[in-house]
Amino acid sequence: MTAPTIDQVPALELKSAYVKFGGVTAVNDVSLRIPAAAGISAIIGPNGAGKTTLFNVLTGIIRPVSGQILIAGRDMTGRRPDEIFRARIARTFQGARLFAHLSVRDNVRLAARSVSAPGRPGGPSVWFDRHGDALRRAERALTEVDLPHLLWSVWPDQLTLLQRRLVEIARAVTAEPVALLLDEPAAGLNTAEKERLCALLVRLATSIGCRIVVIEHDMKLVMSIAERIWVMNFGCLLSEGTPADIRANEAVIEAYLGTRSHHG
Amino acid sequence: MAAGSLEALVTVQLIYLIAALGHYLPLSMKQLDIGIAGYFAIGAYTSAYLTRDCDMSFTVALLAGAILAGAGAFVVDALATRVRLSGFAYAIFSLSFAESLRIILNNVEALGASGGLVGIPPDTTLPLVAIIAAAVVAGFWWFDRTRLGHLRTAIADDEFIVPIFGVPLVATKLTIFAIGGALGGLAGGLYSHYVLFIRPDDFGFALLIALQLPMVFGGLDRFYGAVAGMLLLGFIPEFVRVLAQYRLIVMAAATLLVLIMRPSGLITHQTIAWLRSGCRRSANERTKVGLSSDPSS
Repeated sequence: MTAPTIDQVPALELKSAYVKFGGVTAVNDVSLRIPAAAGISAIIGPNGAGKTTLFNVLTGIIRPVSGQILIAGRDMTGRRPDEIFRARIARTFQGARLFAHLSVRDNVRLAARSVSAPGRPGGPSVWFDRHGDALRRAERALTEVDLPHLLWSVWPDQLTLLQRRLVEIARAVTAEPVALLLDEPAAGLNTAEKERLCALLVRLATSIGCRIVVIEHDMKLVMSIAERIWVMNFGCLLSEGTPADIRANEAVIEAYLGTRSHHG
Repeated sequence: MAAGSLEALVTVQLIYLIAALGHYLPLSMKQLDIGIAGYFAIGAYTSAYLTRDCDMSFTVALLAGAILAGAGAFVVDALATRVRLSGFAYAIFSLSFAESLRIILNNVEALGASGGLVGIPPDTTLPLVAIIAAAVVAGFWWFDRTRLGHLRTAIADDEFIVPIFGVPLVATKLTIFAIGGALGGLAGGLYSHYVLFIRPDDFGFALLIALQLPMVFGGLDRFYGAVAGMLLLGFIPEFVRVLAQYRLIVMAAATLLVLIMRPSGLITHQTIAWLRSGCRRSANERTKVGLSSDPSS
């Protein structure tokens, strides 16, 4: 088989992954190709569908029972989360998990130093390193997400939810990721904040040239920014397509969108 | 040890302070590493044996003891990590290390067995201990501003997500544990060359309590809580003569009182920020101070 050209190699690829928690199959034979081209994709699905578990598999936190993970065509199955981060797959968490006792800048710098310092990445040479470009990269990332300069030296507990989300995104962006996985970035934000976030995500995708994958429950938001959507239900990948495809898909309407229409 | 002498008191308390800071490192990452008495013993016996029986210089012996204790901490924690011990299981594991070591020492004739090791050269002096303790405290202040220090804070805050940012978690934790163990060993070496007579039972549970209680009292949030706890609980009962003989009771009661009234200890980062800026914008101020003295900013 000939090697595919660079454009065709997905940034991140999952091949028939299974994850079991006791008797429950949280991820059931899911295959996913996250393209390398800049843009935004989304994963939707009801609570407990296995979306976050899928992110955990992709970032090495959970090892799938079977299946394969390829980053830019390289087999990274069974690698540790830190190795996957240095292979430039970055993510955020539900509920904006920042390190509470580090300043905003140090939160971002912690991630920046893992990829920027000379020597073996993450090895002893970076533990006391002073000469890396981590600080510059951290500040660039914070500028990139439009976080006011004044807030860089405060602790996370003084930020609003949106600002904490921005810091989280900046922390992930310092890795110059090929794929940026955002777990419910808009949860708990008001309409104006959501709009600001959407504008930022659209801008980030082109400015850093990466593929952003969001897990999101807000259908309006997903339909407006994502060009490709995966739908998950009960650990299975139910469907995949453009927003128009998903809106028209019978199975999806029944499993997810349909249940919403009962409420309203 | 002559408890009546002020010099002896200060020296031993400063030695304990060094060991307590070594104990603080794993403890601040929510890892209850009770092996500290064992690392202390490794340092004490190694440096005592090397100077007494091998005619090594005190400095070399002291460093050898610290390195061996650091290696001991590394091995203990590597084993514990290997079998994924955490919480109570980990605490019991590290305690059993210290206790096994004590029982082994009780039976090694070359190290004096249960009778103890005598004839250790008196090399530890108060100025030396004071300089080393000051250096260790300054080192901690600096450490909190290095990457490894940031990682320690991050691990204490949210260990689960640390590896997601490219940090090899196990290697980082083992390094910090080894530094802690080495500090314990260093303190042990200083101790043995000060008291001049050591026996395995000096390094039992009582030593652990003497190191840990003041730290919980002072607060585990930042290392200066541990320092303050060590100094306050170490000295106050000695100066108030009436209390001296009820030392342990006073320590326990004071710690209980602090835990009830201030669950995170006497001194936290808020306390320092509050002292600095007078109640307002506490965390903010404290961070700014921290950053402005950061070597890499």
